[in-house]
Amino acid sequence: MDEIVVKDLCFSYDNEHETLSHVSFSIRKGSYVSIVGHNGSGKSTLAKLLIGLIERNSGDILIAGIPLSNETIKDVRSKMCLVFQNPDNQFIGSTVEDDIAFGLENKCVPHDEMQNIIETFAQEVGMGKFLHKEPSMLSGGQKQRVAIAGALALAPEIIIFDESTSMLDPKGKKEISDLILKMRRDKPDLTVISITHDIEEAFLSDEVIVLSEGKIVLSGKPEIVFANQDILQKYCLDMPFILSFKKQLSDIGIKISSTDDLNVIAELICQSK
Amino acid sequence: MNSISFGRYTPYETFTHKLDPRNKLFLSIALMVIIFFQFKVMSTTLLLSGIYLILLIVLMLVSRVNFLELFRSLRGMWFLILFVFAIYVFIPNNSYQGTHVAFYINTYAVYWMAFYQAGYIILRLILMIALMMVLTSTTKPMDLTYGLEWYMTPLKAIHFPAHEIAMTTSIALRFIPTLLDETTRIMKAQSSRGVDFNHGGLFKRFRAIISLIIPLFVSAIERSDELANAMIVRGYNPKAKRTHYEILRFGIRDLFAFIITALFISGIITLFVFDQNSVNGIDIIQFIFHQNIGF
Amino acid sequence: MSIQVKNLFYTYLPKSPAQTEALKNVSLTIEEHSFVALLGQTGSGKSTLIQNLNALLIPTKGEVIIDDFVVTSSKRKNKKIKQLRKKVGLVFQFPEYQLFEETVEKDVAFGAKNFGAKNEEALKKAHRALKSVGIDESYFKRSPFELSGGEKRRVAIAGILALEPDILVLDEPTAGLDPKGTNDIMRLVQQMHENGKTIILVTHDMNLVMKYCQKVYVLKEGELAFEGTPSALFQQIADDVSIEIPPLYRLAKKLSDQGLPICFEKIRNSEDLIAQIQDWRSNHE
Repeated sequence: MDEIVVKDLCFSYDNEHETLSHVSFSIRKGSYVSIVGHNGSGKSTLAKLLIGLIERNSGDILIAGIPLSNETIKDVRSKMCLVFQNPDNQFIGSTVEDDIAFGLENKCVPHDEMQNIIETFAQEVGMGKFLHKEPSMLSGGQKQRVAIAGALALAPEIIIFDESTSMLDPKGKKEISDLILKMRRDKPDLTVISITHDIEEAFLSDEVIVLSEGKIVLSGKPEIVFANQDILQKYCLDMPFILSFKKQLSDIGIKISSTDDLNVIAELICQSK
Repeated sequence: MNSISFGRYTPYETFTHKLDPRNKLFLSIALMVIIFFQFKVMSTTLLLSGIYLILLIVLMLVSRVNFLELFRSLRGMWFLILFVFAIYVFIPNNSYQGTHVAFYINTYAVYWMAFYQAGYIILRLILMIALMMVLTSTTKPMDLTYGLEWYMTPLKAIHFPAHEIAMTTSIALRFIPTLLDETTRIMKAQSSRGVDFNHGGLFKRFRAIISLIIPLFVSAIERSDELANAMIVRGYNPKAKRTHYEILRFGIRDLFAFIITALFISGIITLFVFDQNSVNGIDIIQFIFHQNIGF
Repeated sequence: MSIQVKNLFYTYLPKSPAQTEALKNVSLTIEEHSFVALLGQTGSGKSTLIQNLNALLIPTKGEVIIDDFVVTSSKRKNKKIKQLRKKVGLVFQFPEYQLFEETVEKDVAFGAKNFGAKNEEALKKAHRALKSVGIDESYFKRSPFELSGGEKRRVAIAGILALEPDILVLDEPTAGLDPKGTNDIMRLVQQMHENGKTIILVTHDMNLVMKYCQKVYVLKEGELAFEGTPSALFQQIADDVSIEIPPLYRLAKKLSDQGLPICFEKIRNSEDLIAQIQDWRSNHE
């Protein structure tokens, strides 16, 4: 079942330069898709269009079968959550529990159910012991985890990460990355879309869509999309280390296709005489 | 890194801390109002001020208010205090005629009444500040906001944006530490470009402030935009119905505090009524307690 | 103009309940014209250390000696300290937030003017700096707020370059940038190095460290935990000091563990490792 269908989407901020031009793609329910592209390729704009923060110029967007329009926007937003890039600028509550509660309050969840939901999801993201902490006492990674808890607490079908790790240090990045993998295991029906320019992160997804200058230029499985260095360079992207190294090994006669594990690769290299 | 507590909230668990903020707001205002009751008979004034002061000190001790903070704020007002005394002492006042003279400067008479009047004003100022300190050090800013929102609720009937004001206030409060950090960061960045925030003539200082204010404003506006997006995406609609996570509960302690304060205030009002009829407050108290204080 | 840090201690909010010892007895020397990296987890003291280098913070104990500037807790000559900020250019993380002037050239000239340059001279320095960061003349009279994120960052860096510092300290200059943006900025930094500046790079990106830096200093909980070459760091101590080893090095280590003669010092990128693997294979034939 296609959770998200985008047909011929066009958008431009200033009528001079097309930010998105005839973009079409579909995303299956329960898949983990990365949307990558250089800065200015239109990735973030796409996220905002999907959740209706800005209005498209033309084209169709269907979320869980519902066509996105002014009338259906509330409905659509109830199925979708977006985690933004800046950990501070999406933290609304004065404490962790207040922030997670914010979304629940908007959804008119009865007061008696709130405490339980908040504790459960805070626990799930590893912030169970931080309920009374103020944001100024939290690291970037911790704040993003609270944002994710707040999103999951609303039981969405789709969760979009809009460059959610780009302002974090390596520790924070790993926290979020691990959390996404955990979410994939615990909630296989949850559709995850990650908008990023971190190639190593994108490599972990099921499917990759590459945007460049407002158009989709590549899409498919990561191993295939990231296979060609020259093409990637054309779109201002790096190649994931493993793929790049395996290619260089293949150039000197060592073919490794079955694995991405460093240990196994090392062994295979040694055995390759 | 530095989380400065707005209004110096101190995270203890005293009796006052556990009171409902709505109650505290109401009682604070009520107690504040009676500070300004003007008594005709001097001895009543002195007596009541003394009792008020003692009770307030007890309250401050119970609430673990930082007395040092209080003295610091008073020290900051030394000029004002001096000014008040100067006005009363040096501006001639006919109503002083016939009262005791403290001393003479050449031929100008400085009356005890002048000191008394000025002193009384200062005392009331101190009581007010101390009372405010009790309120702000025992109540989290967020809780104060919730309390105020509750009081503003009836105004919703005339389309007064009570909820919006409360939400804006709570977000502003949450961002105070963040904005302070940002200010420090910008100041450091500009200092690294040669800006001196502490020295220089008027023009240079002005340029320095501009290099701080503009980036702060730009960043604040960007921040607001992103926050608004985040709120929209999480389903926020100020006009729609919302449930509340933080619920204020009036408890036994609140009842107790309310009753005690009510008794105190009624006592004062009673004395006030007597006072207006020029009955000496001391006499009343002597009468009530069958004591002869012998004033 | 080398940098000498001698027994540097720094404490935030001394004599208060929130007192924090951010730097404990840090001593190190950074050679003139070198390109070094300052590493460490968030909270290890990196930003405290770099702020002691241009006297934004004054040492609680110990001293920092840069050329004939000595910054210690006891000496406090304001004018002299100001001049130090001309020699040591400090570019903070997300520097685009410091832009405020009406035009790009005015903003870049701002720093030069603060150090005494007259209007015309300051503008000349600004133009030079802007050209060196790849900002075209057509941008000079535009408002800095019209520019894209990457362009703003380059303008902000130009603002420090206009001071013509001998030492350039950059705190996470590539934070939030995409691969192309990262490459552009690092090429710029390398250019600055080639022009003779001493570069101190504070970063979390080990790939950059591997590619550009000759020496690394690692801080852990306010103390200097490691000083040496990047490959020495990746080989031995990395786990202790919570540094993430780049996958290239991890692979090299595994190969070395399996008996291959790997020379870590010579590995700056994947081509180097491939070359070593190839050498080993041909020798084994």
